[in-house]
Amino acid sequence: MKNKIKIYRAKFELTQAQLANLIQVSRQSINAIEKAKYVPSTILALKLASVFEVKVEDLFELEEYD
Amino acid sequence: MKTYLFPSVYQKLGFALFILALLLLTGVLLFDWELSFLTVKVWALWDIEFLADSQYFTFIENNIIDEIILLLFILGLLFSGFSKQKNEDEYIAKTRLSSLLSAVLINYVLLVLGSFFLYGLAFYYFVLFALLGVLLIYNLKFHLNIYVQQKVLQDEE
Repeated sequence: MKNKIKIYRAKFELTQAQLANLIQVSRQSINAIEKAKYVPSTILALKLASVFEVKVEDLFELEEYD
Repeated sequence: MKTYLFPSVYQKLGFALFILALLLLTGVLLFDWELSFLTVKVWALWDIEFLADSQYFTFIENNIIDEIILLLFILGLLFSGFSKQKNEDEYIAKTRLSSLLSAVLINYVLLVLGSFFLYGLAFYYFVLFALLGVLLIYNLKFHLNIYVQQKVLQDEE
């Protein structure tokens, strides 16, 4: 699954640590999600979408092998 | 999903208990500590001594240092491995779970290898190690993974 967290984070001028604080997760989580090493839970995906004021589908995108 | 973890202060306590157990084990194995004051009457559900009949539901004399060391190892490894991290979240829970899975797999692969290649007393010592194998390997994997994740973050700064 691809995601645009890094792009939105840059747009909102947030560091990984700030974003992590906003949604109450560790910085490791944000880092791993951005690198597509970890697919977050629905709850976390919804929280991320709400921070960036977009829909979950705007942040995450399925790939062919998913 | 609610999973039970010990409060985060238990992690340091766990490491301390583990080190204490290691020191006691070293003392008993390498320096032949007698610790005769720990020889006490204990209640045995079942006792099989070398060249003697089995005994059930009875009191026997036993030095309880080995029980104490095992208890310290188990508590130490449980506390250090299953306490909340400072920033416990779902990614750390996933790291925890995958470390536990690897630990179970590695432990039983080692046990199979041990059963084919170790004999006599060597196998007996190995089985003693295997008592704690899953917890030991899990702790190593989990703490190494957390360390690597933090190192990656620091390197990116």
